[in-house]
Amino acid sequence: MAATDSAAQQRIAAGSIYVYGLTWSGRGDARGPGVADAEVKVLEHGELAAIVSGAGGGPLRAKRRDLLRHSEVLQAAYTKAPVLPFRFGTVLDSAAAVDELLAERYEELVALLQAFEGLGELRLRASFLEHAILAEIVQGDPRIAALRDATSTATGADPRRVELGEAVARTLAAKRAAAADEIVASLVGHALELQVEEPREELEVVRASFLVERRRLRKFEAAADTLATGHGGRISFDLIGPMPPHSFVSLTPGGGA
Amino acid sequence: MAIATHGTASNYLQRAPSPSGLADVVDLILDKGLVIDAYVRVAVIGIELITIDARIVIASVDTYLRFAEAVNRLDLTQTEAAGLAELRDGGSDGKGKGMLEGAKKAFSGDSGEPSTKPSNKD
Repeated sequence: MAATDSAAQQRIAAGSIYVYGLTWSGRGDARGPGVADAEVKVLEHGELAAIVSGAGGGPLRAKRRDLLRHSEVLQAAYTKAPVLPFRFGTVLDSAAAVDELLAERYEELVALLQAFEGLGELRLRASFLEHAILAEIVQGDPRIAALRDATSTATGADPRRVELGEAVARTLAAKRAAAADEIVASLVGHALELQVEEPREELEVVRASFLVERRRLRKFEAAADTLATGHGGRISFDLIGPMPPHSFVSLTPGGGA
Repeated sequence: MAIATHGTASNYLQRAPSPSGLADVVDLILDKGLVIDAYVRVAVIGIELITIDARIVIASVDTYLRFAEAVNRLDLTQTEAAGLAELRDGGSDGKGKGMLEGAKKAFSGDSGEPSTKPSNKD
């Protein structure tokens, strides 16, 4: 990330503008406090309104509080109107630069904002509950159960322990794949788009975002609830949203240049 | 367009209207959102440190030994009761989390900033 490296060496000039995202003029609800406690306001250009705050002073760090502020400002605006979320840390040199940006890519940005009218992102994470899934694996496979008994007093890198762990890992991977397929298949019909990411934790089953029409939100939730109940005690489900479509917004790079 | 939290039919689905903790915002916000790269710099320090490839490597001897350890210390007589109680108690609040979730805790620890890993750059 070359941009980040150079940013690390730069101070953000006074008068710079932090941009949270875009919404429709007159419909947005720009509320603060924003990143670095700055006051949140809108800069309008035609139908588009940039949700911004001042960003003078030092360089920005990816701190918990500011990440949450970025999210909260966008979430507040999103209760009133569709929002195109910008990436955390987007800073322009001045209010004039924001206006120029909106002017140069006006048609494209208006079309993108229209495309997300009435939509929201739902983020789902599902993870196996450790005790339940390991017990299920032991009880479902006589070979694993026998290895477990045989290694109950073994220590260190005893080959039988490695064999046991490998067998458990393999079975877990198969159970993960089966559950992930079921979860995605049950929900995809209620969404317009989805993005499934690689699991990042050993017990994680699914980490995915769904682009959902708000009028179909209840159906999506009901489907997720049915899944969660079906796997009750075995898989925990966390569903966040609806949120601005963080995972689904994109523009052709440099399209207006 | 209200986005209030509301209950779900079961207690198995944890619902939140928006990201509330560090792990959530890192997961949801950090490297996502619109980038208008022809015009705009993303002026953040530390992004490359916290968007480390957190993907887990399952196929290693260390992992196998951790699985073996976790399986060896399982108390199978408590299986069903424990699993259900865990969810009734609110699931994701940290109760009943075992050793296999250690990596997650390290990553989303309760400090003011996301935990970082030394960068190889410069």
